[in-house]
Parts: sequence; structure tokens; C-alpha cells
Amino acid sequence: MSRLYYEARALGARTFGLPLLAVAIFVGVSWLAAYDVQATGGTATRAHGDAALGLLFLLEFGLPPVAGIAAAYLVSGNPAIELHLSLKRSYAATTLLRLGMLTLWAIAVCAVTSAVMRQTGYWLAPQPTPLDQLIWLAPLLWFISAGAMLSLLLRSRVAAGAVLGMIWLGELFFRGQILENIYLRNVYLFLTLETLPGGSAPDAVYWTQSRLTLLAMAAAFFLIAAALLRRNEALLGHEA
Amino acid sequence: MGTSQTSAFLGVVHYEFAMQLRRKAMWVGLSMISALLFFILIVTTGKSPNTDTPQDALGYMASGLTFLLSIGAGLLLANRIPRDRTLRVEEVLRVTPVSDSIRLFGKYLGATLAVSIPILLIQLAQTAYIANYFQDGAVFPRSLAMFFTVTLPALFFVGAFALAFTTFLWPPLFQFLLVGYWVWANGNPDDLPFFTPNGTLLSANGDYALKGLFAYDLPSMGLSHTDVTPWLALANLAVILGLAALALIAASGIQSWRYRNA
Repeated sequence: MSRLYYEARALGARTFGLPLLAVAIFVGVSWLAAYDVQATGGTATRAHGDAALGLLFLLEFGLPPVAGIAAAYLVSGNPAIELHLSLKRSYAATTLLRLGMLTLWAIAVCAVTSAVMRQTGYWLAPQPTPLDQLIWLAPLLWFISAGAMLSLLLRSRVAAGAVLGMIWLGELFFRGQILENIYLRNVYLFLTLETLPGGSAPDAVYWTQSRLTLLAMAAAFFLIAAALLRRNEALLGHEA
Repeated sequence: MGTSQTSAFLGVVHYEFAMQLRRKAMWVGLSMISALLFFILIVTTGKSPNTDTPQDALGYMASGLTFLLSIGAGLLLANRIPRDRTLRVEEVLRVTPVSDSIRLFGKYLGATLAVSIPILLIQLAQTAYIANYFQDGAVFPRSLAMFFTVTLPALFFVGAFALAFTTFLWPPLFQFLLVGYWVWANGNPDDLPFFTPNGTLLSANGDYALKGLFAYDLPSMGLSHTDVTPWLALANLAVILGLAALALIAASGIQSWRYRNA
């Protein structure tokens, strides 16, 4: 237990605080949108719907990429790596432990958020329980494992964050063309938001298949990241 | 005194440019994302009413590329200043005769110009595809003009704020906030229930230049209700470059404050 406490301190409050900041920002913006609708003469139903949409954005669009950027940042760039590599406990195991702690924390934040959304009546997603937990679980695990893998492949945690950021925005901006392609739509990360009425893929039948494909990709990225953590000489190399 | 500061500034620009250009992660990362841009280019060029002429296809390409790759440049530049600290070279650089603000401005100019090189190459490759599709080589000069008036100002804007904010912000936090800002600043003003810089003179996504200088106006852009003359486009460029300069001056101030209170 003291080991876990030590690793949590090594990660720092800012790693654990980043998902909480995302929650705060999205909840704030959703509240602002609902307030704006009501203040400009809109109905309470519409305000409620807009707020619920904002919260669903938080769950699927906000939290996973933020966790991915945090994962990319913690996996490489260890300032004491030479010392770490000489210890009895393997560097790979320690790094995977830290990654696991971030993942569990992100899962906890997402699970609590979705439970609160449901209890307070702000749940918009049409998918049935319990499958609808994949709304956030699939993109979350995808972004975390992609962030870890990219950070090790590119040997630069900031470049990995940059690639994740561009994927984040690119999938939002080009969702029309992505969803029209029969291959890419199966790996579209923010699909649930598009399955809502008015989205680009209403009632998409391939939603479950897409979520499971994302989970499979996350598993593959994780295995690659775990393998890359064992290459001691490469870890000691220069930043790219 | 003037010439030695100028040559020191040029030296810093040259050094930072070369250092950033050699950063393999930048090239690999931008190439990965260019795959998405090429996919979009191939499925849209000539296949929709917005992209059935070479000029429209170029405008669509430049708009999408500016939107996506300028944020990439800002995210990539997020660790330039913290890196000097983590690599412990900041103290060494501070004792050189070059002043801290000249070092900062030189780092900004060198690194931003270097990050614009792969983006220019991606834009030229996409232009080559459009030229081949429409069998029209005259798109190249237009594309280059678009790069210098649409894409490069956006890069200067984002780069300045990247350097300014990372003088005190943790890089992942800055990356998250920058993406959030970019989503807000490029959302369609008709859809968003609150104020957005999109469509105002503060917008840095190249829309004003595209509409005012190249007569390109995609319906989803924020300028659907505005008549944009070339002068208004130039005013927008002046505003965003002015904001970039302000950001750099603030960055210099924050950096001096940090050095005094270290």
C-alpha cells in the first residue's frame, strides 16, 4: 500500500487533477449553455437537453483525450530513468503500475460522472444498459493506450500529446467524411454523440461493433507499449 | 550594440530553427496526421458541390489544413520553454551575452518557422493532388499565396501563445486548454449558444483571408453573414499578429519575473 501511495505522489496532484479539471470545464460550459437558452427565452426542456448534451460531450469527448494526454506525459520523460533501470523492480513494471493507476482514476471519474448524470436525469444516450458504459470506456482505454504507445514510439511525450490532440480535433471536424467510410466509421471515437437524433449517424447499428473494435485496438496498443518499455537501450536514448 | 544584438538574434533564430527542424517526432507526428488529411482530400475533391472547382478544392484543403495543423504546431511547441528547464541548459543560456527577451523572440521565430516547413510540404503535396485531379497546374501559386496569408499567420498566432503560456503552465495542461480554445474558437456561431471568436476579427483560423483574398466561403464557416473585403482580411491578419506580439511581450515579462523570483 505504501508503494501505491508513493507512486501516486510521484505522479503528482496535477496528473490526477487533469480529468477533474475537464469535468469542471465541461460542467461549467453546459451550465452556461443552459443558462443562455433560458435567459434568451428558450424552453426549460431545451435548456435541459443542451445541458445533457454537454455532459455527454464531457463523458465521450472530453475525459478520454485528456486522460490520453496525461498517460502520454507520464509514460516517458522520467528524469531518473538511469537509476530506475538499475533497480530490482523492473522499470516496465513500475511504469505500467503508474499507467494502471491513472487508468483506474480516469475510469472512476467517468463512472461517477455517468452515475450522477443518470441519477439527476441528464442521460441522453440511446444505447441500452449495461452496454452503454462502453460509451466512455472504449474511447478512454483507446486514448490512454494510444498515448502511452505514441509517447514511447515517438520518444517525445509532447509530440504524443500533439498527435492525440490532432486526432481529437480531426475526428470532430471531419466526422462527416469519416462516418461515410465503411471502414473508418467502425473506429470513430465519438460515435455515441453522432447516434443521437440530429447527429451524422443516427441509430447506427454498428455502434457495439465499433466500441468492441476500439477496445481491441486499445489492447493491441497496450501490448506494444508494454513491449516498448522493455527496450532499455532505447529508453536511455535521446528525445526525438 | 544594435548590430551585435541583431546578429545574436539571427544566431538564436538559426539555432532554434535547425534544432526544431531536426526533431524527428515533429515530422513523424505531422505525417501521421497528414494521413487523415489526405483521406479527407481524396474523398472530397471534385465529389461535392463545395469542391468541384480547383479554387474551391484548394480553399477547402487550406481551411482544413489550417484548422488541424496549426493546433498541431501549437501542441508541438508546448515543451520548448519547459525543456530548457528540464535539460538544465537554461542557466547556461542565461549567462551568455544575449538578453533573455532576444533569446525568447529568437526561439519563437526559429521554432515556429521550423514547424511550418513540414506543414508547407503537406500543403504542397495536397496541392499536387488537386492539380493532378483537375489537370490544372495554376493552383500552385494560389496555394503558396494561401499558405503565406492563411496558414502561416495562424501558426504565428498559436506559436506565440504556446510559448507564452508554457512559461508558467504544465505542458499537458496547456495542450488540453489549447485544444479546448480551438474547439470554442472554431465552432459555428449559429450553433453555439454563447459568444465565440469565430467570425470576429479575433479569429485565427484563416477564414477572413480565405474569404477576403481568395473569395472562398464554405457555408459552415463563421463568416456567412459578413462581407469581407481584402482590407478587412488584412485587418484580421494585423489583429492576430498583434495579439501574437502581445503574447510574446507578456511571455518575456513572465520569464523575467520568474528569473528574479527563482
